[in-house]
Amino acid sequence: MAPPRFRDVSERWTPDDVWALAPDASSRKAAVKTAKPASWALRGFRAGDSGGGLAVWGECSGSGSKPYQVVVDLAAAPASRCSCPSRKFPCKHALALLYLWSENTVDPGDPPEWAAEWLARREAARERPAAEPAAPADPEAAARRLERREERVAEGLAELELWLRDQVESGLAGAPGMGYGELDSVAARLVDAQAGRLADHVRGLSGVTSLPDWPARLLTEYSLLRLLTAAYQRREHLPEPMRATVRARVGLPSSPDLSAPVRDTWHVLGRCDFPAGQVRGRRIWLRGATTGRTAMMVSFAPQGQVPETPVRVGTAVDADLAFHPAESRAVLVALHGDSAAEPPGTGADTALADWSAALAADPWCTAWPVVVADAEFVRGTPWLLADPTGAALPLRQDCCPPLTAAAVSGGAPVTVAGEWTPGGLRPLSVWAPDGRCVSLDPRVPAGAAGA
Amino acid sequence: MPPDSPTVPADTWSDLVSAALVGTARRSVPEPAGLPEVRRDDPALALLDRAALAAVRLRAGRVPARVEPDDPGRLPPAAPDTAPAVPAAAARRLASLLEGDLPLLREWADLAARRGMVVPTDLLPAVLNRGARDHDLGRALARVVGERGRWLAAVSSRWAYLERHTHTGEFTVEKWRAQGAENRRALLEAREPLLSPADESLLEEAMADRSSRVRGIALALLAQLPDTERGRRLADLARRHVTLRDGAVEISPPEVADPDVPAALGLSAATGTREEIREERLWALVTHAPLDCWLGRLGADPDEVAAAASAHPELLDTLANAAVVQRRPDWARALLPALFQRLSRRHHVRSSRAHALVGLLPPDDQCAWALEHAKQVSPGTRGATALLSVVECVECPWSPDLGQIVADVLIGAENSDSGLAALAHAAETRMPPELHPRIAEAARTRLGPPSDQPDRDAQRVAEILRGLAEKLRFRHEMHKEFH
Repeated sequence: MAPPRFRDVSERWTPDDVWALAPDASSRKAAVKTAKPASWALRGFRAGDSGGGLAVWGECSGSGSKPYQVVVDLAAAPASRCSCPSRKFPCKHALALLYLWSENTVDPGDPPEWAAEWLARREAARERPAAEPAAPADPEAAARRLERREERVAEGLAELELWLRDQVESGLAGAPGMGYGELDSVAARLVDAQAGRLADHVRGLSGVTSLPDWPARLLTEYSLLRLLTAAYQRREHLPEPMRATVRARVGLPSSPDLSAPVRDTWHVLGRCDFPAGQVRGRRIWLRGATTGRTAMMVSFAPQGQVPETPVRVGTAVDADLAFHPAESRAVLVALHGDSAAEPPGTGADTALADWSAALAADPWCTAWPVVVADAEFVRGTPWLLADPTGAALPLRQDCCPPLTAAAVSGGAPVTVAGEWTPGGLRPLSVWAPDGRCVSLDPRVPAGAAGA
Repeated sequence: MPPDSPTVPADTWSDLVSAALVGTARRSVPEPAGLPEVRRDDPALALLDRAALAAVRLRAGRVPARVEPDDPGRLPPAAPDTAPAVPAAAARRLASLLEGDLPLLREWADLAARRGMVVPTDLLPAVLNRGARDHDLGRALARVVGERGRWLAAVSSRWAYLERHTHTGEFTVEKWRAQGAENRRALLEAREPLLSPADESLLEEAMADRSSRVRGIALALLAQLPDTERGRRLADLARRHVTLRDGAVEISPPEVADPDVPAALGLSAATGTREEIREERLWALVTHAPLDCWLGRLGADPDEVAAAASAHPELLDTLANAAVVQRRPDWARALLPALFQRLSRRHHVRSSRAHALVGLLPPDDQCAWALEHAKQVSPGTRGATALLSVVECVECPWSPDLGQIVADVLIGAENSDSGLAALAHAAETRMPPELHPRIAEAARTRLGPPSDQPDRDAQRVAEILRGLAEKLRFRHEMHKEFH
């Protein structure tokens, strides 16, 4: 299989593409300051169709005597290297260089030795998985390792179940006094058992008891955890899609089925960043124009860095996606083209019926994309998103008041994409009456336990 | 799930929650009707399993809320915005400026306003929030939020300030009286561009307001109002105490016992010596008496009045004060030469009214005035210090000619010139930004060829010039983004 292509190689990026990589507002500001051509005595780029992959490099004079050497590899997901001491990624030099390039102030050429060396190493690394068979060298050993891991997870879950049982037996009334420590040690045992995702989830429960309706919320969370432990015990008897869901929810790894990519025109509905343990996660929702299939691209990056964002919200991409066996999770295999496009929407009834169907396949699901057409934002506690029939989705408390979305709508009916969650709708993007898409880029606050 | 399927009755769920709170050790597990039967030997696990069923059914069974067509929460449609949005690059620049530099943000707003362009709708909440934090900036940004911005400010009460800047609300005396002191002040302030003689009674009422801040703004506005009763009373009084006799101005401050002056000015009980009280009342009177009352008395036109008054420094200063308080550019123009001549010898421009007088002139006149004075400054010794006293009054963007002269002086200034840093600082926000390559070049040549013992002063000045060039380059980029 060919290495994944993330964008048309002949395409020069727009400044917007560049700023989408900035880890935060301050690094973007610093990059704007750094992006003066006079500071860049050396700068050049290699077009993607000239043999090697698309790459940009340059030398930026800083406060020291030696200029900073920075090179950015754009052949696949953007990666960069800079000789500056910054711990942000990409650093302001890489961003500034890309910005200059996006503004057409960088000339094509051959990379200098220091850049060529690094690019060659990356290229070699990219080729390797494609050159070798996808299967591990020793399938039997791998199967044994997986089996051992599943057993350890089973032990961890049995322990969790016992703990849940004890909580309910002695009563949840004591939960607010339990403190962070106890949940943390439960989570730590799950980490030991290699059920990392579940551990993060359990750790996030410590915030629940500070919410006004915490008894109901806590019982919901505990009962769904018990549902998961019970389902895992019975995993051999579950039908395949549900078994895959249970394995994914527990935190066992899965891989995308590269043998059967799905090609469609995928509407990129919206994106949302969420905390995931020590790292920052980003999910991007897509929906196929022909297949109607929902896809979720997930990527992670250390705090202060930007998770990979291979597609832009508000576009429709003609692409091949390979799906994981659960959670509609997908990866981009090949991108054939993209254009701005407004997705078709439904009414509020259909949106919630879709959500019910998603829950039937995955009862642990806490976010499902919905697109409401001709929708109006309505003031209230909470605010609502009403369809033309008057059926309305209440917004999540942490998304009220939705002033940016309201400003874009101007009180007119608009297409709104969002995530339906047990706590209400989280708007993700709005298409203005003139068709312009505004991505609201919400962030899930930490410790809210998903719902 | 089909829409007609039963959802979990609320009491079923709350029964389960109650049991879980108390604990299955002390409470039996409810067996809610309508849920699939769950048989477990362990009551705690039975409760959890029943709760899981109930919880998932609650989540899956959510139905939409209803909004009636006449629901008061529905937003009124915004009027269409005929003004174009700023170009995409300018919008990105705005987003990066919002948390930063105030002068740059104001310049951005001016650039957009001059082109009749508005902020893109998705940036409006951030822009309105920023404007709420700073009064003057709020006024500048109010010009570029467009129809949609005013609509949005009506949607959320946190941006009520916008109405004051854009005069969209209907002003009535009754509404004004009903407001709190802060709003009474703000509403009066917002009336400034719309003042007419019809406002005199409102302002007289405000002069008796409980709040001293309301009284203060009312006094300032009354002074700007032409043809008022109050103005005529003050003019009559003022002309009694400042007269022309045999070509010379004679000043006789009002007696302390004279009740007319404090009554007309609304002054409260005075403190100080007799002489201090008399002086203070005289200058208050001259400040608020309409300036035109001196025409035909001290001179035929403002220039003649200024010439006659120049023999009396306090009178000249007070007339200058009057021009500022009464917002009279014509009088500012007449008073400036005499005032500036006297002041520039002593370098006290900043503390005088000259600064404020220059500010009254239209931008072109400000630059022309400064240019005329700047031409007399030799670029040699202490040139930057001398020029600074002229151009620091000119707070509007500098004309190309004025910018060139300042650039010449900055580039030619000696390293020891103490005014250089302040002049460069003044130039950062006002000099035409396209001059940045000249300044950058000057910074490089200032250092000269590399040597073992770099000149500390030259390094410091080169750093100042480099900083200025950088600011100008940034502004130049910003300007280009609007083309």
